[in-house]
Amino acid sequence: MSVEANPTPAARASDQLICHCRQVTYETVRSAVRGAGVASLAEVQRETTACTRCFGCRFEVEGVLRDELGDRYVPATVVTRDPAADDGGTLRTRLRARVRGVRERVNTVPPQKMYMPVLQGFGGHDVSTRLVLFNLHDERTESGHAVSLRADLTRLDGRRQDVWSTTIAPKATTKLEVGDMAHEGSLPDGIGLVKLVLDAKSVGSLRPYFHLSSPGGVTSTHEKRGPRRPHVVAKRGYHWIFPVAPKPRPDEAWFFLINTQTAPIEGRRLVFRDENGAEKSVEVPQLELDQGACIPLHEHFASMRDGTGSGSVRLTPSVHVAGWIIRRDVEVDLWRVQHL
Amino acid sequence: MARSASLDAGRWLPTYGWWPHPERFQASVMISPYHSALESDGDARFATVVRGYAGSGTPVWEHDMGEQAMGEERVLTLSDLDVPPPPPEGAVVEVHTVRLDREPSTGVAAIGMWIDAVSPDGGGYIIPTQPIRGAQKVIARDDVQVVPGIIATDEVDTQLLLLNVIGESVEVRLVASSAEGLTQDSKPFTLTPYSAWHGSLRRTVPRVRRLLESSDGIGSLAIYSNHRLLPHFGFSRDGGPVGSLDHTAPIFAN
Repeated sequence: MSVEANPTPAARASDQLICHCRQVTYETVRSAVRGAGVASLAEVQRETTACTRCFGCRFEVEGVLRDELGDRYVPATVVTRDPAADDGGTLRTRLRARVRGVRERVNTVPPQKMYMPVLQGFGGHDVSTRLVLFNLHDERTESGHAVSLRADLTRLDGRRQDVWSTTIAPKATTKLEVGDMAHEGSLPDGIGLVKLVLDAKSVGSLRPYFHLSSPGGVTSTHEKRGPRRPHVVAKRGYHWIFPVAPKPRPDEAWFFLINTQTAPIEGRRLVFRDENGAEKSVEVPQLELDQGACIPLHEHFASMRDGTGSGSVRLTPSVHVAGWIIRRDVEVDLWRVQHL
Repeated sequence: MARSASLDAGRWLPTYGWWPHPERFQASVMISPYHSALESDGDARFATVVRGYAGSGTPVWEHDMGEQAMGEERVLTLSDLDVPPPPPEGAVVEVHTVRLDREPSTGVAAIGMWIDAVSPDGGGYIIPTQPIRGAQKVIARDDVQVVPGIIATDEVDTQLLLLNVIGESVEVRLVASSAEGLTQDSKPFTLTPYSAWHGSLRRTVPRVRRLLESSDGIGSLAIYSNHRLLPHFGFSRDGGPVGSLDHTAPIFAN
């Protein structure tokens, strides 16, 4: 999936954070590009430590590079942790980062990322998304602790639109209405995703679910975690599938997937195979880390819409994704969502 | 009726789901080899038996779906079976799929399949069947699971479904919690062996609407039981159809 240049990086306040993990400002990155001749994402990582933890600011950093360098900027095909920035890098790197404005010591533990789809007026429908985050407290072990996290609201192309941070006390439930984060036009076609970023040690007690609400009802399921080591391409022994049973009523169906690994997803297809062995397929767009796609299966496989089809839709060749099945009963405007 | 593949025989363990009353949902069991093998595993072969339980460990019906080669998709719509319907709250369906070409790579394992259900009024759910043991993730506690994001308002109610898939009665208690962590308990109740319990949060936990009033009707729920259950939850608006039925969150061992 191609990414447009961020239209307004230069308009960002100089003290505004571009990298929330490393507390690096826009100005620090701009200064590195202008003063130190930095011309690539990897060099920004090396010089500033920005974009070396969760990679959530990758497209914003690229926006600054594109804005400053114009045609001289060549986008990276894969974002990865720069070896020199890992573990804080060399003494020289750490000192240089401190001089250039990094506010706190580098956190060397990779964060845990959790992903959820966002439908907020998707396709013109009256549908909204609410995140519900429960911090479980195990009274037997008294292991409860407050969990601090950041929620990035992004477009499907990975461009971040808003950032929300909170701390959830043990036993507490926090909700976040995505409508309070998204502003007019921030999510093209009313669709995007939320990425939670938190310390791996906090994950054990956090249970994030989400609701999709429409006039017809409410549907819910949970987030999908990203891999602990997103740069390692995990082998999968089976396919993600979307099972399809015969339906007495017409409905619409989408396969929502997010790339949670640093390697791009490319050359994949969704293949609908029915009980008679007949197959049809649709191409999955190329997805880089943190980019998503919502593929309308009912537009490609007519028998899914009219309810006559039965079988499964598989993602092939097999690859790790965060994925959900989404269906909508057309007559009563009721959505159904289920994680894969 | 004898079990052709008991829980104690073989290393592929069965999985479970809800067998709803056909007047509420048309439920189909989806058997897809792609859910547990790659399309390149051309030699993979499967066999599946589907059974219904209603109150005891002896199945009230059994449907042998036979052998299935890689690439063969099968769908079994439960209402098409010539079997007596379950009680109004439904019962338990067991989906026991085994791979014939190999044993599990380590210990025991379960091959989950999917249930796709729709109701005449537009509701429905789609959910994988679950094992009671043999899951890949290690579960730290069998006695509690949680539902993050219950809703109890004038318009929306949380619908709970508890499946007991063991041969003993299970004592259950529900504890709803507000956004701030204040709690309200239900009265304890009992699930008989191999049965389903289906109920409304508002009717089961007294004063839950008042408990959640300060957080727009949103909170969480803990389900305590003396043996492990397979709980699910969904929502209905204005008494309308349930729009999903997801499983609850166990406490995994870290």
